[in-house]
Amino acid sequence: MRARESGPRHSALVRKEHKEYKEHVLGTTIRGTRTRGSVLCVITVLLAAACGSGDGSASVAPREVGPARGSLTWYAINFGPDGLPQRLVDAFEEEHPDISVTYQAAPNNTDTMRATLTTEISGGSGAIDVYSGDVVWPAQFGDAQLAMPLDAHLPDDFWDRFPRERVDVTLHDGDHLGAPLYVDTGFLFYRQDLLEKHDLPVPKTWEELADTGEKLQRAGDVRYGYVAQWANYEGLTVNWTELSAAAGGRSVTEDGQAGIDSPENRRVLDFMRGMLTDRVVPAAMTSFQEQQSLQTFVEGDAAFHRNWSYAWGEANNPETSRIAGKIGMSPMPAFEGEDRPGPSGTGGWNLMINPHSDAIGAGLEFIRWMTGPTAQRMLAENSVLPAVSEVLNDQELQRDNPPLAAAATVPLVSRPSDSPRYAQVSNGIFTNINGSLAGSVPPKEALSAAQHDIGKALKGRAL
Amino acid sequence: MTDSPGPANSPDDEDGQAIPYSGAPGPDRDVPLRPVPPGAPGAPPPATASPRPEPPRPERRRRRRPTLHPGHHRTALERRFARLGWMFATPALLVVLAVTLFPIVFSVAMSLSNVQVSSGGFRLSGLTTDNYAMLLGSERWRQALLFTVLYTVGTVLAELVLGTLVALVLERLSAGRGWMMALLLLPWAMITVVSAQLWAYMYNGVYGVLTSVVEGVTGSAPQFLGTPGPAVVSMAVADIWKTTPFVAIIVLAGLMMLPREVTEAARVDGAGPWTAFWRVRLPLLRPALTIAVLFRILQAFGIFDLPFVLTGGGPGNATESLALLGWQVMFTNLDFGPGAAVAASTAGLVLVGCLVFLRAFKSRVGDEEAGA
Repeated sequence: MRARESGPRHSALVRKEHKEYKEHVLGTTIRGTRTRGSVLCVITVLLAAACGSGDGSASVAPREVGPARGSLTWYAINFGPDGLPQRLVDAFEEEHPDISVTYQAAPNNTDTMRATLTTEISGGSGAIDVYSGDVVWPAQFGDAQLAMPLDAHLPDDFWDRFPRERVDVTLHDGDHLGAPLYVDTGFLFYRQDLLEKHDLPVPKTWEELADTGEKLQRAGDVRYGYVAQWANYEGLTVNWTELSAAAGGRSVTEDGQAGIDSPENRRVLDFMRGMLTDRVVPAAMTSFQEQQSLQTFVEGDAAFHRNWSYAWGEANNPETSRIAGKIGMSPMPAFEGEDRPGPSGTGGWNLMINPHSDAIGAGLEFIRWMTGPTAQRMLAENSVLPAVSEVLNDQELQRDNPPLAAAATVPLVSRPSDSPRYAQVSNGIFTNINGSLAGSVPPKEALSAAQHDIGKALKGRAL
Repeated sequence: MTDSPGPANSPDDEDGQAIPYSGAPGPDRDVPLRPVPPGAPGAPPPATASPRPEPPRPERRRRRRPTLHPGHHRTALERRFARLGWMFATPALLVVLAVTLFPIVFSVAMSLSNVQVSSGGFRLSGLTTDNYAMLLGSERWRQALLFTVLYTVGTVLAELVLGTLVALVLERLSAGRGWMMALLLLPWAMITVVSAQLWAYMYNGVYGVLTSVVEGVTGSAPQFLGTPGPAVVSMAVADIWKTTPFVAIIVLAGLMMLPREVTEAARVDGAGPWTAFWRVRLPLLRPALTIAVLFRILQAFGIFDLPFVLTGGGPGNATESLALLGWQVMFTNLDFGPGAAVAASTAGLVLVGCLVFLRAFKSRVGDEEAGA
């Protein structure tokens, strides 16, 4: 900078010298950086090696958790009606004057939230004390030691308050890594008004659903028979798991092997593709997530819709929906010939504790209270499905909350998330199924490719 | 016809032109102009060929001298200056090291070792090429590589052609050029995630504006994002819409710097507008085009936000880019070793790609030392 400014004032000779001088320094710089770079490289590797001297366990001894007071930060994706998390926090603080809680809203995308948590916690930060974790995370988070095992800190009978299926998915290597906060369940939503108009029953099987949908399409009442989430993402794994279970199939066998390439699953995939070719579902459904399918349903363009329980409130809200008051909900259908009803996929969030937290004592108290009757009732009253059996089965609450009543009775199916490699397994499921639905691969090849990918994923050899 | 190889191949034209990028912008402004006038009046190509060998030579000699005799010209004053310079630069260099070099080196180190996440942080152990072997053995990675390369080549080519056309129109505009440029820059100024969301609305398979427009014309609803081929094209269109203005601005800057006399001389020599553009101005524009293409390759090869918002890499993994794959392997699968390998290999590949491109352009950017 200086050299250039003074340049014009000097004679040509001086300027030339200046230029040489500049270039000379520049040359030194380049060579210097190179040496320094390699030195730094070595230092970094040494540092990195030194960093990894942790004891390799995320568990914390009970006497080291500290007292149940102080301040803690709860990191969670917003849920329920506006401001519900903050209202829960306020109610908690009222009963616990010694503990102050800051609710920190997480990005409304599960993968982005996981990325944030991973960077924070694996970097050793204790800025987040308690966080909400997706139901499919415990195995992965336990394996990567991003969550503290809770069993040493909570009484054994603590876990009795939850339905068994909801607790079992929080286990990894025999430890509970999270306490269910609220749950979610897949339901079939349907246009009650149209079924009544044509005097049709609510379908009990998938084949019946496709027929009914087609009838309503032909009658000109709707553009599409059925909408759901078949895009290339985790939601397709949920949809697939429900459909597959309804036909008696699985993606991962009980002994932890890939089992997706089966006759049952072939039937399911053929059925899904049939719905696409018969135009019972929109051709664009291979790019539909929850938002797009719900939009199609509330616009009055679809007869049937699979979604989580929140869709009930959304579709009955006259401000956002054209079909408010015209809908019903039921458990998912089964496939013809299966004697049991089709199971619903499980979703929801657990409360987990950061092993680096300085306020574990307060965090445990927070978990106890949030899974207790007061907080769980608040959830139910705000149309969030509670995780605790007692509130879930409360007749009084069920009366004016159809999703709650339905959730208490439907059979459930969980995604195969008990492997720490579940993210790769799920990727093996949804990319291959989505690719086949989009028409790039025939069903037979898609299932055997998925079988191969899942097998590789379970062995830890898949990207 | 016979003089066609002249302008296209004569290296010296570009040599002179290219210098602005290797040196400081200010004083060099007149440098590109210098070689041109001698070539301009006569038949441009052959005339430039003979006098040119002279000027570049002193240029090169001057450059090499410091490296050949490093210690020779150092006076005490210069050494003091150098020390002072280093002193002033140290804090900034430390920051650069901390925020740039350290993460890069760390991620390369990660890609070459077994990484475990634990409550004690990342644990790197051993030196291994397993992570890279895993990439090479993965169908998913090969697919992502293929997509990224094709996508980069396709979008950059389209942007180059369209951007040049836009720049030529803008150059002709006498009134309202400022307004037009401001308008054009809107897509470029918009954050990609936001504009991608807008495109997602337009591409929506049921309610999208574009869907209903095309349906109105052809009678059947198109599938923009739901089927592999159209998904790739739809994404490329969104990208081209956004980045063509960037190319146009750079090319326009290049056009404005071209001396008028060159075109006029070509006209006088009987070249039509097309020949004048294709044989005279375009070759002179090469340095500007090179810069535009380099920037675009670097950006397009790392494409993340568009597939993240529009398709999530689908259908299947038809639109999964290397950057998206790297992110998923790292932060969804929590596989840090292979994830770092994806990142490091992507950076390596784009570096190689750029070098190959520069070579293909005969290193006209002028900085032979940097290229070697």
